[in-house]
Amino acid sequence: MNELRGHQNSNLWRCISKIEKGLLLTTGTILIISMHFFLGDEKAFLCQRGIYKIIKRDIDYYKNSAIYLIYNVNLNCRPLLDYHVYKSYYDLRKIILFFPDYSDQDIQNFINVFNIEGLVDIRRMDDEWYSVYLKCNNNKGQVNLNFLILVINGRIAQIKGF
Amino acid sequence: MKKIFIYVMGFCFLSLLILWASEGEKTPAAELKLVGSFPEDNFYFPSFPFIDIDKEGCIYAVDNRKHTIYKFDKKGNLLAKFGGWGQGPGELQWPAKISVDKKFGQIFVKDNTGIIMFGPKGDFIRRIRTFTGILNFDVGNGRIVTLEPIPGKKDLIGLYDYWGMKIKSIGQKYDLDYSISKEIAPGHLDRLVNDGAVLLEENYVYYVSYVFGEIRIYDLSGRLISEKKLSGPGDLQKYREQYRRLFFEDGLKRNKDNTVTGWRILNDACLYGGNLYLLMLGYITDGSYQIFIVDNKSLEVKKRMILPASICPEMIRVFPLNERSAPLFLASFQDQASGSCLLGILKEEGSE
Repeated sequence: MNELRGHQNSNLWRCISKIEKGLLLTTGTILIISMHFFLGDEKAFLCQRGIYKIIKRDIDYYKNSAIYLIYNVNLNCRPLLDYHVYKSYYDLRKIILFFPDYSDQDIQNFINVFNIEGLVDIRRMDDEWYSVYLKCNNNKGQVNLNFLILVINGRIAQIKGF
Repeated sequence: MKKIFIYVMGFCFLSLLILWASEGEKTPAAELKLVGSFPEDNFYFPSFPFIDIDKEGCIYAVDNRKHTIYKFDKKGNLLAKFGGWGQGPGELQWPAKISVDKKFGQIFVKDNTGIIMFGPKGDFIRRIRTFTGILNFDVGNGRIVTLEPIPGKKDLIGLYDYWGMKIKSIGQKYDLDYSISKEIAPGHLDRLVNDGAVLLEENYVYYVSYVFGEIRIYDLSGRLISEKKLSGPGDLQKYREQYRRLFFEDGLKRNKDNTVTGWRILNDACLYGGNLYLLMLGYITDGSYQIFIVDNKSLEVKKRMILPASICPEMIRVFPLNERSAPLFLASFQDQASGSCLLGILKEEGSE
């Protein structure tokens, strides 16, 4: 029976013209490529959705804020993106969230090296923020990025990896 | 009478000039020979391994490309390996310099994220983040000394405890006019001009400039105790002056392929048993690489060790032996003939 079905299928493929075969193959290729992009966007979508979920729960706190998700920065080649700009915006809440394995001493070194002064909220990522970070860091684990999330009037204005 | 006086003065001046010129050549020199190299079968280093030795004489080699630390015995037998790519506890990302606490055996490795501290058996202890882009470091007596020329600051050396708490900043960077090297970012320039080694011994911190062949000694309070420009054979003085002009007068430029050349007189430095061991590049003397043995108090060159012409060493370390023995060296080198990156044991020609 199976042999018969296989025979019928091969007949079907033979029955259609070359143009139809070409069209079928092209459609298949487009479908595969679209799936790939859709899945990529899905990850970015999950990242954004995760951030919104956290923000909406505490909208008063996050309403106007610059949120840094920090994996690794240094003064020489990975500086704290745009911090020098945002630090003078007094109506913008600055929130710096570190990887969960940062020690108190690491955080103190960070404060000293980057001259963090004034009202800046500094803490480690909780489980929820860490899970959001993993969704945003969409590069198959080769390079761990840091992220700057700019929230204006409760809406995400920008997500920048650096 | 006047003529005789002029002749005598001229003779004296010439004699002094010859004496000064031959100062480096007067330093006793000995040949080193390669008595063994490893690893051998089915194991290779894709690039120069970074090395250090513990108090037992075990060798630690960091493979930057495989993100792994290998531990060998003196004979080159592999005893253990640890690390591996990742961001979790004990995992590494592009590890480079390694330093072993000579008293308690903790192993410290610098990678892209900071300094990772392992126990003597390779068990992960903690990650220390300094955020300063460390160029080089050394450990001992519960202290970590880092070479960290920080952009926008004058500081050169950082002193931390084993928990990562910064105790002090020591020394000053070379004062550059960044505007004369416009093609290169100030932070990168700082790293190029201050390239060197920091070494820790009891209550002193040594800074050895690879670019200018200068040595500075600081105490732990940051006071400059002594400084000296290395004098030696060949064209050392000529290169020092050339590099000085390049950095401070003419300015550095990018190469056609957009890379930037690093300029050096020395390749590595280490401290052992009251001596500084400085690895001088071959082209300075127009011959083989040399190890300069410098007294760590007077900073006078006591002896020169000439390495075999067949090897291009990147790093050297001294094996802990009793004081009467001639020093036994470990080198991380590239074999000229095969191009392989190897570890080699070197000893003085004719020594036991």
